[in-house]
Formats: sequence, structure tokens, C-alpha cells
Amino acid sequence: MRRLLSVLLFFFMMQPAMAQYPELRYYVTDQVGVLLTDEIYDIESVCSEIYKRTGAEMAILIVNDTQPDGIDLFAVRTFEATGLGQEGKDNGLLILISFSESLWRVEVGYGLEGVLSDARVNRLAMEGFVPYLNSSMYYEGIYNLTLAIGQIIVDEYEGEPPKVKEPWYPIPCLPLLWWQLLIVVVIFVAVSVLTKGRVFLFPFWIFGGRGGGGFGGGRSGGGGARGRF
Amino acid sequence: MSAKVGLIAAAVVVGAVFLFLIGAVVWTAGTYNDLVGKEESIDNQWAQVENQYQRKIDLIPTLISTVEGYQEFESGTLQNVTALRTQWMQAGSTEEQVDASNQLDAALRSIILTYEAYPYLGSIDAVRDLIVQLEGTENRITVERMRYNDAVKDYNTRIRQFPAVIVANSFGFEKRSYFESGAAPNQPGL
Repeated sequence: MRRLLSVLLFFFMMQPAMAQYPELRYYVTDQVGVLLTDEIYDIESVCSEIYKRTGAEMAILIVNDTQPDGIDLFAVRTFEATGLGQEGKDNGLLILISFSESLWRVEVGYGLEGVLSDARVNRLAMEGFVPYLNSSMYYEGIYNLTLAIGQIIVDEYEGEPPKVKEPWYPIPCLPLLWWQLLIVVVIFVAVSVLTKGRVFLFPFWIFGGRGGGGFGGGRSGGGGARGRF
Repeated sequence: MSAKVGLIAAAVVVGAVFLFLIGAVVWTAGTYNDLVGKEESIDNQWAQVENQYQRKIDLIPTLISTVEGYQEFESGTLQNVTALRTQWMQAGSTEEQVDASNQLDAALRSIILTYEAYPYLGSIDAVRDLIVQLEGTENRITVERMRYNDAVKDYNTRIRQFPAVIVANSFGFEKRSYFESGAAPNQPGL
């Protein structure tokens, strides 16, 4: 019985295998560590505002390198794996920075290509993005570009704000309905009896980390711009 | 009494056979539709590849008229690009079009190399915008071609797998060819 439980717990705790292409969960994903936490929150608040107003989903990813695919293919695949943009509207956008290769790429979803042509994205990047990256001011560069692109999306892209489904939960801070809560409690009690209480470590690894995440099912087709910095 | 048992047994056997046949028909139909869907997505993806080629061809006149004012670009190369564009548009078969398109790519690459060799050209907005667009169309073609190959791979794998291979063989689903950058797949028109 013990062994069975430990096997079960092992499967529970196992993190999903690291995919070759990261499936993004948040607006900003910094795998290198060039941004401070409050800088990340700053940029995310811009992305979140754009999403609330137009439904367009922007994401920023900083990786160490994009080998063996190269930045173009890596951007498309990551975009696809994450599903940036709402499904059917493809209104997603990915800003990708490859740190060790000194490369950047902005991948524009099909739905945003109309307002964000390659040349326009390139210009925006040359103005307020690349000069900052050149002097390692990543936050300023990313913030500027996010804001500039976001401004265009808000002004010109005819999107609809996403329908906000406010779920009605009986208990604040706990996204469960009564019957779901009941099931969880029953399982919890059963498991805690079986594991002699050890299961109470469980909440710590369930509720760790930032909330948020989950993008739609949008796609891109290689539109956008790229360059060195 | 025993006649009755025999009758029941026969009914059970007939029922089982009947159920099996229904199951087989439903499964065959399902697999068939799945294969049709996959084939359809290959054709759809091919149309995307064609769109992006068209986009590149459409860009050429603007590109030429913008860069011909700068003496860094060799006029021979530019004339060659225009000629190849005409050749592409007049091409009758897929092979001819792919051939013209490959030569065109080589000529366009030399334009981009010229652009990169003279950094001051990068400070001219009109030129830079066009080069960026050109690179963009190249990248779009690569992406759509990759998706086309993904769709072909998905379909080819499916029609060779057991048991779908039975359906594929009896309804004549044939293997489709990949689009390698050198050779054209068997597709109607490019």
C-alpha cells in the first residue's frame, strides 16, 4: 500500500517533461534572468491592459539560445506550442530575445499582420528597442517595444475585449464550487489518513508560483521582423 | 427444448456477426473521413505556400523601383530579377515555377547581400522597409512550407499504419511527396 501511494505521489509531483519549445504560461518569461521581478510585473501589466481592451495576446520570451532551429523557426514553433492569440483570430504576438546569440525576433500572428507589417515592426524595434538592448538595458527596451506595439494594437486593431466570465464561487480565494470542494475534502481526508498526515505538504507545491497563464489557440505564419543587437 | 436452445444460440451468433459488421462499417467510415480530412489539410496548406510565393512575386516591382535608384545594386541583378519574375508568371508547370523561383531566390539573396555590405543603405527608410519585407516573405514561405511538410508527414504516417493502411489501400489513398526546397511535389500548379 505504501509503495503504491509513493508511486502515485511521485506521478503527482512529476513536472511535465521539458518540451523543446517552451509553452508559455505568463506574458513575460525570462529564462535568462535579465529582468527583475517588478520589471516583469510592469511589462505584464501593459500586456494585460492590451488583452483587456482588444483581446490580443502579447508575450515576451527571453531565452539563452535558439539552437538548433535558429530564431525564426524557434519563434514560430514556440508561438504554435503556446497558441498565442485567440483561436480563429490569431491575434497573438511574441517578442523573442535570444540572449547569447544577440538576436531578436518579433513574431506576429496572422490576425495582427494587417496592422503590424514587417517594416513597421522593424521600425518600432529600431527606434526604441534595439538601441537599449545594445547597452544591455533589457527592461527599457522591452517595455518601450511592448508599449509601442500595444499602442498600435489598441488604436488600430479592431478586436473585441474578451468576454469576462466572472465565475461565482461561494468561498473567496478558492475557485471551487461547493460540490467540488466536498470532493476535494473527502479525497484529502482519505489520503491524509492513508499517508498519516504527510499529504499536508501538498498545498505548498500546488499553490506556489504566480497565478495567470493559459493562452488561446492562435497561430502565426512567420510575419514580423528580426535582427541583431 | 434443445431446438429452442439452438435457436437462441443461432440468434446470438447472428447478432454478434451483425454487431461486428456494423462496427467494421463505422470504423471504416471514420478512418476514411479522417484520411480525407488529412489530405484536405495538405491541399489547404499547399494553398498557403502558393499565397506566400505570390506575395513575394507581388513585392518585386516595388522592390526594383525602389532600389534601382541606388548604384550599389547592380543593374544586371535587378534586370535578372524582373526577368525571372516574368518567367515565374508565365511558367506552365509546377517544375518550371519551382525552377524559376529557386533562381529568383538566388538573385534576391544577392540583393540582400549588397544591402548588408553597405550599412548606409540601412539608414534609408524606404530601402530598409523593402528589405525587411523581402526577408519577411522568405520567412513566411519557409514557415508555410514547413507546415506543408508537417501535414504530409502526418498523412503519410497515417496511411502506412495498421489498421488504417487497409482503408488507405482499398480506397486508393496514395503517398504524398514532401516539398524539399530543390524539387517540387506532385501538386497541381504552384
